[in-house]
Amino acid sequence: MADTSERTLAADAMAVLPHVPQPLTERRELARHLAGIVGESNVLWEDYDLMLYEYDGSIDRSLPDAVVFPTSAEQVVGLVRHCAREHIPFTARGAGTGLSGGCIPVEGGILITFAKLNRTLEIDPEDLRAVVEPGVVNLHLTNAVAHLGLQFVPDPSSQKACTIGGNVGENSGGPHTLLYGVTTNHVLGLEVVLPDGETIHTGGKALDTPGYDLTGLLVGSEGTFGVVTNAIVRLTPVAEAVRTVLGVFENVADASAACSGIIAAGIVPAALEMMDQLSLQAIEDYVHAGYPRDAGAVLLIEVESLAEAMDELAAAITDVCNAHHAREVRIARSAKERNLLWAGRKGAFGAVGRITPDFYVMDGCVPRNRLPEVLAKIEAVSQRCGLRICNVFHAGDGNLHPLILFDSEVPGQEDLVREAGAEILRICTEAGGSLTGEHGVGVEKKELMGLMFSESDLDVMRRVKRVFDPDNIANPGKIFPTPGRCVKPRPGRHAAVGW
Amino acid sequence: MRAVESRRTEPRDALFERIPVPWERTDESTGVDIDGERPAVICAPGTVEEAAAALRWADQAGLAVAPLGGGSRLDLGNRPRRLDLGLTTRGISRVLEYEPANLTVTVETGSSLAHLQAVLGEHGQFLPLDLPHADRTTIGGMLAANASGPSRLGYGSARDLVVGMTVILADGRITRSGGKVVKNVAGYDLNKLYIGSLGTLGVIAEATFKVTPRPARAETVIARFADAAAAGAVVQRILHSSLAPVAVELLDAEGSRAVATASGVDLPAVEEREVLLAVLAAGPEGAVKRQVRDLLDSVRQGDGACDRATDGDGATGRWGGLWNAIRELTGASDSALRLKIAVPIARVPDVFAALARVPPLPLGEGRGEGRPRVVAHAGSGIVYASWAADGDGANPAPDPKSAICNLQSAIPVAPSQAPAAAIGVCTTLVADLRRLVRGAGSVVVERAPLALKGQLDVWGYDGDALAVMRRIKQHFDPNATLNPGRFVDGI
Repeated sequence: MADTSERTLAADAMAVLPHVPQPLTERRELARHLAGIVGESNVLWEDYDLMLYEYDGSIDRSLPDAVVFPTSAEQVVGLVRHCAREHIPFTARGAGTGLSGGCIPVEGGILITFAKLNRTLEIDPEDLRAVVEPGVVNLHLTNAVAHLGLQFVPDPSSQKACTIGGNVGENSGGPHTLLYGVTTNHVLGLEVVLPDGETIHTGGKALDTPGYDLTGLLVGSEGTFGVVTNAIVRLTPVAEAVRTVLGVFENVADASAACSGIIAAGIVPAALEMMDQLSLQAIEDYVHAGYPRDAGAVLLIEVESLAEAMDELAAAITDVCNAHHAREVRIARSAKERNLLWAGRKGAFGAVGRITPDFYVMDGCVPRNRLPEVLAKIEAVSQRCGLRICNVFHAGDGNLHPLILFDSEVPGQEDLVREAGAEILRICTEAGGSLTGEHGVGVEKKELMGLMFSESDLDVMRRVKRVFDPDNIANPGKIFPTPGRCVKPRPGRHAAVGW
Repeated sequence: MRAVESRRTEPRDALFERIPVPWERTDESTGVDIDGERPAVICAPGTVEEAAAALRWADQAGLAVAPLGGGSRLDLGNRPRRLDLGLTTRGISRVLEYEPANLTVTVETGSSLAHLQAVLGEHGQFLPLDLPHADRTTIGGMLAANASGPSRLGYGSARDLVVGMTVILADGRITRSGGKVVKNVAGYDLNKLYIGSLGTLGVIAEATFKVTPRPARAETVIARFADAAAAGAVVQRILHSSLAPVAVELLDAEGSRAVATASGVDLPAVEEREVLLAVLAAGPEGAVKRQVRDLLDSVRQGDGACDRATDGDGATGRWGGLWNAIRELTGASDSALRLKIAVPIARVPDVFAALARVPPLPLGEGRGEGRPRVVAHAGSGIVYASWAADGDGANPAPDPKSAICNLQSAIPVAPSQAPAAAIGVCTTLVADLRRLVRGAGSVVVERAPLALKGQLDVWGYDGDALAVMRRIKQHFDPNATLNPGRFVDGI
């Protein structure tokens, strides 16, 4: 445990000072300019309207000076050119389901919302590609190609609402990334408006475009390099058969060991999720998924392949679970049973919402074999700060989602929860893991980047930022620690310092 | 050696005496040759820190550095604009961290791919990058060149498998990108920038990969088709099925002949215009049986002939060496000219048709005329066409210089024509192929005689992001210390 002053600093660092919007008269003038580009009905600038756009799925807030809804790539170019000319910050926003403040305009300026730039431009089944505008909803693309036996694989839990532009910005994951990879593995080309208003095209339907892999660099850059106006994505055939297994364990240590054991047995499940006791109880009270309330932890394991492989895989998984002292191994016998098991997992956050006024989702990622130790340390944090923490997460990837339960009405609890969150991320990075597996750095974790990267590492990233955005107008105030406020960066490696 | 542009004031040889790590002068026998250029000295650091010290020193001294791995892909790229030092990673080759339960491994990049595979193999795992020449390919070279093999269809390429890197920047700073866990979105994904950057942004010193359990079983299905279009239709059927094969390769007649000769495998005789399909199925026992059955059905429905399945994974036994020979052909080092053509998947048959129409290239006196050997990662839209230096894939010419000589001294069809005409045939060929794929793909000249390299743009990048790429280079390597000139647009 770090000393108190350091903890307070980290907690303080995670708090954001909200932007104070410009006076109404100046906003009206700005809106007049913007209306000339996107039309009057596509600009919002009054207090009441702006308040709907000051937050995302996380806990930070900041008001934009105007919200615009471009309907074409040309309009986006016009908007960005205006911003470049007037040195106004701009921030792209999809559905606002992000969990790290990525689309919160912390320095104000224009919020470019993609709700109306949402056409699927091309579905190209022969080449297994689709070309979409950024506002296309993730699940809508999968639904649009379902009749071809295809899917867009990345499936964040928010997939019914979140947009592909947002997925590209955050490099989103989801439960099925263990087998299929995350967004970056499925985005092959981008059209991007750079902060100077120039448009570039990266990658394409073909692979291995000569030159630097700008597509790969842009995915996950959290909107700090420019604005994506369309994306070429990979389509993947839907698996023929799926089998879902529930392993019930007395404690998280056995469940974690079984998780490693499945991988060690040479099985790569499509999904491998863990839920601990507190979450199981919350879920059972709400969803009635049939999970045992008294179990220490359960694993929800899903394999996808050909029908012929199912029995073999299910038997192997059962063996591993039993070898790690599973109390019970249940295999879904029907689509109904499978859906019920998943309803529990997918309803987990909602279920937890019923037992606490507020909760805060963390997103650390650790090496799989460190899970038992890290989970024990998280439990210790819970004991120390007196806040309940439950764990519902992508165990196969080592991607933790501790939910810290709190009540924002109780004075001091919000600070306490930020402090606990920072401590958990410190534990994850000390175990050789990452601050964020799939939610992004955004505002939330920027002051903690020093836990993972040295000043030299961050300097390289700053150089790349300057390549794209020398005037710092593209989603400013994200990713990088504020000078003078940051947690002490890890030492660089000049001598023999391991990492 | 050509005149070297430089800010140096003192003679270069005197400078070398101050190199802060072990080094030696090169001579004809050193065997490091980048398009006819040889670095004057080669530094051989034993640690990442030493490599950083060497690079920092060279950067400050205004010398140009070529990072060197196993040397299997030195042909790639333009001729160096400047070249003073080679920096070999061969002394930095340890496997640093390997925890099988995490399916990740961290390795120093001077390790050969074959060595890493041997370490992983002890735990039934592997890095699914199945390159040619794994024994003389280093991890660093593989990543810098973004090399891949047939199984990229099933497992992805380097960009999908690298989760973290340690990179030495031109100024000698040792920096990290990414992390060591399989899911990580903290900060920019600089790994993607370094992969395929041909050492122009930094020296990749360590890399962390996702690795994969070896499948329980693997089998190969081979079939012959009347032409590429017929094979292409079957490839479409396979790619749209749930079969999810690891690799789907197409070979033309010359390509199959080369693979049969190199591997000793009794492949069906493939006539002019015919195409051979090779599919690698892998996974649990039951799934592979089913895959083979369905693949054979697809082949029959698509009028394929000579269909058969192997009794193993094509690595051992009667089919031993088949996949190795396919891989080797994609990186054929006996070739005078080798092209990598990337297109959308469905256009692979068009590329085969175009290559079949290409007039034979003149190969030199008494050597006849050369047809391309074509092999495609058909499920990924990548086609390799290579022209053997001696007109016969059975007798590879290992010395790259002889390949260069062959084409330079080539006697084209009419004796009155100068060797320049041979160059003309090649530049026209590349230009025609680029017209064919314009706006949809790329044609990279991966290997070519020196005389030809001066006459065409080997990368053929025709996009609109060059200014961004140039700025990236400028911000990473302001003194143009690292591999100057060799990358896209002379970066």
